[in-house]
Amino acid sequence: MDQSASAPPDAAEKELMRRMAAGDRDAAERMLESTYEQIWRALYRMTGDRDQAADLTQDAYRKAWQSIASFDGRSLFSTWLYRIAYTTFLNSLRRPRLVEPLSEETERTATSPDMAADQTVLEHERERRTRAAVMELPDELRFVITAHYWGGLPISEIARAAGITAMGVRKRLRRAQNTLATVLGDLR
Amino acid sequence: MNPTEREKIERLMRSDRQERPPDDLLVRLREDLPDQAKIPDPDKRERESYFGRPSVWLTAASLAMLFTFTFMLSRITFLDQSTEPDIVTILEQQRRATKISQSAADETPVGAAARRRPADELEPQASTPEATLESAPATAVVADPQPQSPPARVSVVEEKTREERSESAAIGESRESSAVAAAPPPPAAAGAPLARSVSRPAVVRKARLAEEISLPAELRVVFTVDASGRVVEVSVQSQPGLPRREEVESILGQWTFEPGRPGSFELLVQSSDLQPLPG
Repeated sequence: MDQSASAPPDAAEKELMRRMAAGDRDAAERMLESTYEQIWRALYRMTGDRDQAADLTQDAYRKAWQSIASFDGRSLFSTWLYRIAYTTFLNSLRRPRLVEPLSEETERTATSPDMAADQTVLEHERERRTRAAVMELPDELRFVITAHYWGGLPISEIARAAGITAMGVRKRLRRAQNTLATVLGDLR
Repeated sequence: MNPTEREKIERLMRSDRQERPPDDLLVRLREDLPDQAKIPDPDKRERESYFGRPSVWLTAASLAMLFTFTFMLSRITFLDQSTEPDIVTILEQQRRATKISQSAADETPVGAAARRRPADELEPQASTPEATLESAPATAVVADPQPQSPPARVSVVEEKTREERSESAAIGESRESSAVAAAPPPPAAAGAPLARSVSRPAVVRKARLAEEISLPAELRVVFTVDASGRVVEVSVQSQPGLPRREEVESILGQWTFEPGRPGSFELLVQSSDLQPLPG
């Protein structure tokens, strides 16, 4: 899945940003509609829980609106939102969870009723192990690889968000892929 | 990591499932949307952030300093080129040219003969009454600039009186402690100007001054002699702490050079070279 497809193109997003700077609330709503699915999908890949991802998405947007004055405009608004969502997710890992997620069996049934049972089990097992391996990565590698694959951000935007060069982002991606290939070598 | 492994990692990271967020999520998010979701003007922020970067200001400051330095350097070069060359430079250049022409002339038999001739001609000329120390107190001693050709110097020394020879012996006249004075070139040497020298003790003696008022090594005196042989203009370049201009002027003002040969001359203490100025 190319998750960047759901993100607004740069030109359209910049136009929305200009309108938001002018105080256009409708533009802010358009920005919300065009970005929330991308944010939720990234958080879902991080958490593996639909509802928790939705809660974290809501938290992330609340934080964004509260600190919107600190948006410096150096990156796209969606990049800034992703960074907030990623931080929100990391913070959630340090907090005790108030709501227990559904059991894996229930979740599988709820999310993929049409999938064959074996395929569903295999798919979820791959996702779980992949997620666990990504979470074990050092933070600088984890942010880059999750922003690239799960957040759907282009390399240039990841570089701005991480404060490094595009070449630095590619190097980190390669290192992260090498580590994941070692850890997930037995997966098909 | 081989391409197969890379593809596998890419496939694992990119899920094929089209997950949809909960239906009520957008409603919840809209409820949280504030009335004023105004972001700062990105264009303005971009401009401010650009001029707020230290690297921008550092680059501008470096360029300004480089421009200033280049401008000042060009001005100094311009001034240096615009000023006329000083008299010392002219004399030095002329002296070198003389040496070069002389050495070139020495390579031919005619040149060698011409080189010997001035020394031969000096002897009768120096024996004339005008060249005596009594008639011309500061008569120049004409010497060949080549260290190995002292005849001209010897001939003049022979012109000194017996009394002066004893004075010279008492003072300890020596070639190493020679000061330099000038006299116009003899007619025979007009085509190939020679350097002229006079010993420092003789200068002191003729100025009727004590030896302790010797001229310093760094002293350069350019003086002009009129047709009557009197010193009419003195230009002194000396370092601070060395004899004052007035002292040197008073010394040179008492001199009388050979009449009928006006010109400007430079006095270089200890250098034993003295060149007439051009013109």
